[in-house]
Amino acid sequence: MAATTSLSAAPALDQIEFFEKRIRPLLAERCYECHGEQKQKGGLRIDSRDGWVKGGESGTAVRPGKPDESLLIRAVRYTDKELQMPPKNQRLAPQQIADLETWIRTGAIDPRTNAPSATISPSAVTLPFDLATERKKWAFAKPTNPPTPSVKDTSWPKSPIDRFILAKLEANRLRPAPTADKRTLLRRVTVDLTGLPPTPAETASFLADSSPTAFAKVVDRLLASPRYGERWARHWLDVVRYADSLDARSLGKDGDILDAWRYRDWVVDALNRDLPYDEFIRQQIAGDILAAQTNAPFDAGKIIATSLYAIGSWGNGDSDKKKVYTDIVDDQIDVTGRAFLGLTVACARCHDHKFDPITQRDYYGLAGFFFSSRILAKFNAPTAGENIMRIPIAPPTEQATRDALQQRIAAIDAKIAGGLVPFTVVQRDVQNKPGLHSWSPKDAPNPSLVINTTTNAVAFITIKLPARAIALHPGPKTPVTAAWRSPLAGRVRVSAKLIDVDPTCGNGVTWSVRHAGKTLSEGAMDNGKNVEFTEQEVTVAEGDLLQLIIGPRNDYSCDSTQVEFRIKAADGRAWSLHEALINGAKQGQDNLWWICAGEGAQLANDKPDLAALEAERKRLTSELKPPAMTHGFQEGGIPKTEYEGFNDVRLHGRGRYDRLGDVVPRAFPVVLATTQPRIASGSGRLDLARWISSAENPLTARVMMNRLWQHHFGEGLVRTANNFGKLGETPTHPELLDWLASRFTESGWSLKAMHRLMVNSAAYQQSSGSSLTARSDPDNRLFGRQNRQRLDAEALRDSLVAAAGALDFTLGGPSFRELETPRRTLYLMTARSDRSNYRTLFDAADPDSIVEKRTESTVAPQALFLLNHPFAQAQAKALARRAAKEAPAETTAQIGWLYQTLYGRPPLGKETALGIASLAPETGGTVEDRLDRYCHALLCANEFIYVD
Amino acid sequence: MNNPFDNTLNRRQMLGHFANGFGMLGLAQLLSDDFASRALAAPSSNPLTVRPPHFAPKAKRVIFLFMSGGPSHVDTFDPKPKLAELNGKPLPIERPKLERTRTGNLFASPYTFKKHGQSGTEISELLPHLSGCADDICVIRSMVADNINHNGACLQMNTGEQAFSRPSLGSWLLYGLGSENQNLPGFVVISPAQPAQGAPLWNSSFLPAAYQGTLVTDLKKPIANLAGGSSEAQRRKLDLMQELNRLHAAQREEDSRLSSRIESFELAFRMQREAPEAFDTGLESPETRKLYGLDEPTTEIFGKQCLMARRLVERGVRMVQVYHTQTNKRSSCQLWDQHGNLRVELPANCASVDKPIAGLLKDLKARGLLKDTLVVWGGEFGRTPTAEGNNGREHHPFGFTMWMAGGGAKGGHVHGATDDFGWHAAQDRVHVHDLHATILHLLGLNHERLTYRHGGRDYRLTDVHGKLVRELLA
Repeated sequence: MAATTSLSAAPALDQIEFFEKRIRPLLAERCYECHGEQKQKGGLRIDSRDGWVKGGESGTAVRPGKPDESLLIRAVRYTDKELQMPPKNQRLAPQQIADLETWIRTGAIDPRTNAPSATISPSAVTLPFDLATERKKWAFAKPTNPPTPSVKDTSWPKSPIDRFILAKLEANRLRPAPTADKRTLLRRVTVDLTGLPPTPAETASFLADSSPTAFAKVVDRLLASPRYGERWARHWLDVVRYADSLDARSLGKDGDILDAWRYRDWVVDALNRDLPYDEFIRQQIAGDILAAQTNAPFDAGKIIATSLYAIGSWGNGDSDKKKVYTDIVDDQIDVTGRAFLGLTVACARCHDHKFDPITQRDYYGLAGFFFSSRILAKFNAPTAGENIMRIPIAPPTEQATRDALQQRIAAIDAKIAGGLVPFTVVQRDVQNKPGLHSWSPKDAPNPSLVINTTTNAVAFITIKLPARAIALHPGPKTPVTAAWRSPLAGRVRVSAKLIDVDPTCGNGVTWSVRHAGKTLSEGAMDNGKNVEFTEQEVTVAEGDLLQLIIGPRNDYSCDSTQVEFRIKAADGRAWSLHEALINGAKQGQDNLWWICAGEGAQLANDKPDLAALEAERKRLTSELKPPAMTHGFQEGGIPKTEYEGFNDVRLHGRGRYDRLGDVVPRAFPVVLATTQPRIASGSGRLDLARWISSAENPLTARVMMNRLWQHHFGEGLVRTANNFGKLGETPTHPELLDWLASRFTESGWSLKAMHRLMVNSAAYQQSSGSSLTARSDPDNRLFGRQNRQRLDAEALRDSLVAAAGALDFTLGGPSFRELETPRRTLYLMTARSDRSNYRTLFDAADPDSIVEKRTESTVAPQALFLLNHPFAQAQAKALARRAAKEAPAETTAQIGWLYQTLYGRPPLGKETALGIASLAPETGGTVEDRLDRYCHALLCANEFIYVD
Repeated sequence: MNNPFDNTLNRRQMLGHFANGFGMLGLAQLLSDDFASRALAAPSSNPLTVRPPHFAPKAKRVIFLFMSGGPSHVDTFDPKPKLAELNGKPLPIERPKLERTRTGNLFASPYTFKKHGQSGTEISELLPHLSGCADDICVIRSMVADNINHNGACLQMNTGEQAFSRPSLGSWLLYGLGSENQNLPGFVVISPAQPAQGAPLWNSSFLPAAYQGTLVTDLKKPIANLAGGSSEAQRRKLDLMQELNRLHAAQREEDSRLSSRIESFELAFRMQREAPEAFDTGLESPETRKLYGLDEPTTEIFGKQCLMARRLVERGVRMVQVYHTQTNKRSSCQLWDQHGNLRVELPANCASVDKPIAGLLKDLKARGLLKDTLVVWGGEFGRTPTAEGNNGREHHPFGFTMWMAGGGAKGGHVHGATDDFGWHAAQDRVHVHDLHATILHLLGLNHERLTYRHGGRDYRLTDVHGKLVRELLA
């Protein structure tokens, strides 16, 4: 047990469990707030064993074995008027009090020996486990390279894998199942590696090849097919909670993960070109850093690969942006831990991992890498959702062309936008309030100006506008300008006053006073505040503009500012904006006052060559193609926040950013890492990537080999693929797993090499129907037969479209939304907000969760879909039309063709007879109806969906 | 761990036995009710098979009436004389650290409250019909949630968690208890417009997909993929297919998965017959339709939703969630989100749900269903007692009201209280987790024992929180 515990004997496990289940949550929930890291009321801490042993001002809080003498119990019983906890009559429930009594009576076993405020150096930190012991546990020790075991039956093994399998079977006095027949094998391996059934031609060719390498040749052909990457990418996408869209209702809008598909395509391509798995990991964790290395050739894929971290699932749109960022990092740690390491590191966010040797310090050591990186460019306003950052990924030459074009457009923009666009839309009696008028530009409600011409205050929307006042309202991106065009040359004095009339909404405004493009004064005004711009003297030429500009701040679009703007000439003449407008002025009256959108130094209508400029701009813009963008990581925490730059983070008490403890240096989990990083610059993510992708890491290769095994054999060697920790299952064949892991790293982390190794084994090629081991090993833990597999959602739909003869093999690109589109299901839109769709119905992975293994349900709505959905019916009809056209006209031959096409085998006599009977005129309907019905039944039948 | 998918050895062995006879049974037998009931009693890979609760339940089913957007508690069920007294004055207590937007001064309810029933429960004048049911409802005036935004708060109210994907309340119920009608989905969500956040609110998350809610948005065509065409033609197709399956199975050793798929097609066939009828409110008597307000434009939509809910629970559906997202005038995923225009929208919302809910309670009672049907009313949070603008209220999770009726809830009872201003829940706070624990308890489930192992730990609806609120039990 705990290395530093002062108890003489190791406590019984059930006492620890009692503490963990009943006592720790209770203390955390009801006591830590006042007796924990943040506060120590009465000098007492109760968040560690040492805390209550030492006790507070009244002495030790718990006397093990003696509940009646323990202050803690006296306090919670509420019998002592002076000592009542939790205070203010927030009493514990009787059961909770009884639990505390039981805990103390049985010795007050408390494993929380790591005081939360331990010293900072990781080596000096007391660990709540014995490091040497933990490092010896199977998952945390480096894989060995075990010798292949000897077996009695030396004729069966085709590969070293088989010796590991057979040795276990023989030890249990069992025999492997017979080899499956060639047709079964071909269908199995084709679906397994490509997600599609074999074509009749492929079946014929394999049957005709009697050479010993016939199967190996098929495997090579399948692995070389781009269909392989599409099939296996989906397995990986399940593990990394991939989605194409956060919310189908805001599809294509800012804030959605518009470019997620590039990540999906990157995974497909990486698998198809057999990108070594260690590099596959490094690019996903730190591709942006690798891409920026000066000696690296340009590779947008490396940036795209880091999208893994931007497409996560957290509470997007929460007002509490620091919580959002903390949740984002948690999602990033979770996916890193489970996808690459098979470890639930994220369990240690709020407390030390309860079962695995991962401490809360380990968690925050990792968190530092991610807090020092960003997927958001900024925090949006509390009322807005997050905008996932989009990063341009054009190659350098294209980027140079774009830059040049953009410069020319910017130059024209400067000429055009030098202009202020006067408001042209005037609305009288806004919201039926007589005397309340508003001005705005064409096509947009804001920026705008509102005039209250009455002698009473008028309330509307969230604003209360005083009597005879005007208010300027900027747009979310566009300022509003009140300009005075000087009718004179000489000296004038200018003054202004601003009052927020909308204090309950928005976040204040920016303002400036300018003369002919030169700023006289500027600033920002907080919500609910006033600003006065005191008189200043300016020398103006006739026609010069004096401007008061109100601009938006932090994306808010609900900030109305009451303004007064006055100009006095030396000769005593005076002008006042609000008086002029309230007294019924019109836009540009006397050519004096102009209210406009924008902030240029010139009125747009003063420009002689506007049309020509706009035409030129249009021409240049048409040459400028929209840049390719991706989501992904950038170095450094979110700018202009406390997370900016590269920082180690503090321990977050109970996972909360408002309960910060010691700074934890960026580090790898102690149990797994023998050396810690020295981060000279940057986030250190590349160090993290290199550590995870190293052959020295005990988990990485094992975890991936287990995933491969799971998909080839239906179950993993470890049946909890994302959890190699204590609560996961132990491997059924630990030596085999280690042997595979060693071959994997030796092969240069080649996934295709490992697929080859597995599917060419005799174990893989066993029949799935054998009962030899069914009774003694019902769960097939010894792999003495193959597991029958059901087509997953993607393979089922792909097979249906393939049967219709319509499958479009275009690779990649944005997802499609219509189920009828005849492309592979990999490219069918996945939106997190939509769970009433085809994929969900057939148990595809929940795009919100990290899914190691899909559930398999067999429910009536699936049957209803296959029977009645227009898509399913259309595939059946298309198959029937195809049969009528491609198959010989004679009924028996037609039936034979259908069996070959759909099931890869000829029909049995009984099956032909059933076909003939159901196609006979007596069964009713037209010839087409009967063939439709027969084809539909064949597509719904079990043989179509189950692969032996 | 209490996972119905474990114990695979036993299950598979039993299924093997069960499936042995399966292929020999003719289709006529397959269709007989007797066979169907035996099929349900036998363990199968059907995840909706009925499972016993942990202890004797008070309620067998739940109807959750969800007022999307966050209904104002101080205008409906939580009268605050002090608020009326201090109308227009600043809030005299400290405001929370994080505010979505800063609201203004205290804003007294424009509506009056009266005591109703023998219990004397105070209810706003906006809900005259529901006031007639005061003695059936158990008002919780001290609800507390943790999130001030719709998304996070809706997620928490439905799944217990604010940010990450977790199974919803209905999914947990199906996982714990199964469904009593195999011909209908076990968890139905009726919402004419999608509520904020959408499917994650009724998602099964890491629980098997069969436990997720079936969304009904089109009240005219509620279930997808029901057959067009004659059922005779379909029966012929199905017979052919099952014959193919029989030949397929005959070439293989027993495999329960093959036989349960055969079973699923027969269930689908029966569902086609039963589902349209289950959703068809047109089959109700004119009196019943009137009771729910189906004869008036204001109440027609929500009335229909409530009546559908009653028809479904009557047929054994475990949970129906009825989202109020549409009236005859407005359709919104956040219908009760009165940041402004409260004096117009709030009475309109109340008018559109008042009669239907009262109708539902009366109808359930008359049919003897109320005693074991738990009706829950509420939204994701309440609204500030302070004003947003001059006619609105902001989001407010710090103290708000929900109520329960039937199914073992203590009728005619008011539990807990907010402070004088209706701001903080001050007395007998009931956190969302506590509400969830209590709902599960009424259904016969211990929230600490209803667990599912995922990603290396046992998950619960209530995470590591939640306590049963005994005071809410009859």
